[in-house]
Amino acid sequence: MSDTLLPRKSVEDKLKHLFVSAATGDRQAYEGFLELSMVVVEKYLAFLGHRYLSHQALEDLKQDVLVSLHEKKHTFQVQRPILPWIYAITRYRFIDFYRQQKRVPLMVAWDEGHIVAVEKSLSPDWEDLVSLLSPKQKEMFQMIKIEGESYVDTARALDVSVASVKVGIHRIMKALKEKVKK
Amino acid sequence: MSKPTIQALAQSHRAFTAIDDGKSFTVKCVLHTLGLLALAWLVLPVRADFSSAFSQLTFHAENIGWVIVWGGSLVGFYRSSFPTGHGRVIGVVVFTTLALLAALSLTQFDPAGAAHEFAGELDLYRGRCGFIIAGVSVVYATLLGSWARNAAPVKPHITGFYAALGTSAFGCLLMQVVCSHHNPLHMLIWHFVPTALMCFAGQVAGARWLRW
Repeated sequence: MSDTLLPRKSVEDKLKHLFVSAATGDRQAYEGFLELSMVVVEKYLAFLGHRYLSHQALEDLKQDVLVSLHEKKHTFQVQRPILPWIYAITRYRFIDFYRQQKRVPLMVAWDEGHIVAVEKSLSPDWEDLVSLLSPKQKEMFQMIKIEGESYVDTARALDVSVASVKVGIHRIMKALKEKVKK
Repeated sequence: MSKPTIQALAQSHRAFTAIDDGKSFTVKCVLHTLGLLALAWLVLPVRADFSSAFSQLTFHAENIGWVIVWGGSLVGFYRSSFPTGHGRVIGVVVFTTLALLAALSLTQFDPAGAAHEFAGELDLYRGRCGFIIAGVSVVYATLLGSWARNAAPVKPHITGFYAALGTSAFGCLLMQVVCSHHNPLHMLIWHFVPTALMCFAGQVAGARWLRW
């Protein structure tokens, strides 16, 4: 896209012009604004370090940013520059995305010097990894790491002590890490 | 790909205006403040020694200090409710004023009578100031928070903190007219500590409630 080659000032002016037109209800201008914003967002995500994300996760993040720009468009104050506004929303979504990723079970693999976050559903080795675990370990792993249950609740559900759950999870994680390293 | 999403978003696009400008936010704040003042006027009694306190310089200095903290925090709250808002200078002004207010209270501190004063401060009636400050803060901050939910705070904990600090400062300003106990221990235990607790609560509530 030729917009990627535009200098910062031109991008700022063009975005602002499109945004002001879009504010009056011009859908075409709004589409143009979102398209150009996406170019800016992609560049900024590269700067923030999106290389640590898988392709699918990056696409999800870009969609999140896009929807956020759309939902919060009324928070832009026209007298201010627009690029910092886009950057701020992108940065917020980027951080939020990483926080959410922490809550979602991820397997972390080492790939050519980069940490690649491989989502559970996309990981081809996931079944192999889980097959290492005993039925009780699977249940424990499912409750703690996937459903996010507490140690106490898991211990109560599995009728074991809390200490056993903690040790069990530690052993499971160790076994999975070793398997991933191989 | 983002293209279908862009097209879908553009299809649902309508004309819009900015959520708020400084003027209408100020008007809202003034209305909230007047409402709370009217309520306070009906419910809370004016301190018995108000006329003598009014002639003291420290009373006015404290009032000015709380007004700065209140106003400064509201400005900080407003600015931090927008993605590009910065409140560093505001933060410096607010915290410096708070420190000066604390220092002003401490200048009146008498270590000799501290133990006796402390025992008196544990009385729940003396502690009503703390509950009033917290009550005012909760009501006022909820009104501000409901406005901020339509905005886009990228640091919601800071927004919540400023909301709580500003509204607690307003409560403290109100207590200047209501509370006749102005010894340093009372100020610390029943004015500053509730303010600090409300700030903490505001930070936690902001981080959860103002996320988008």
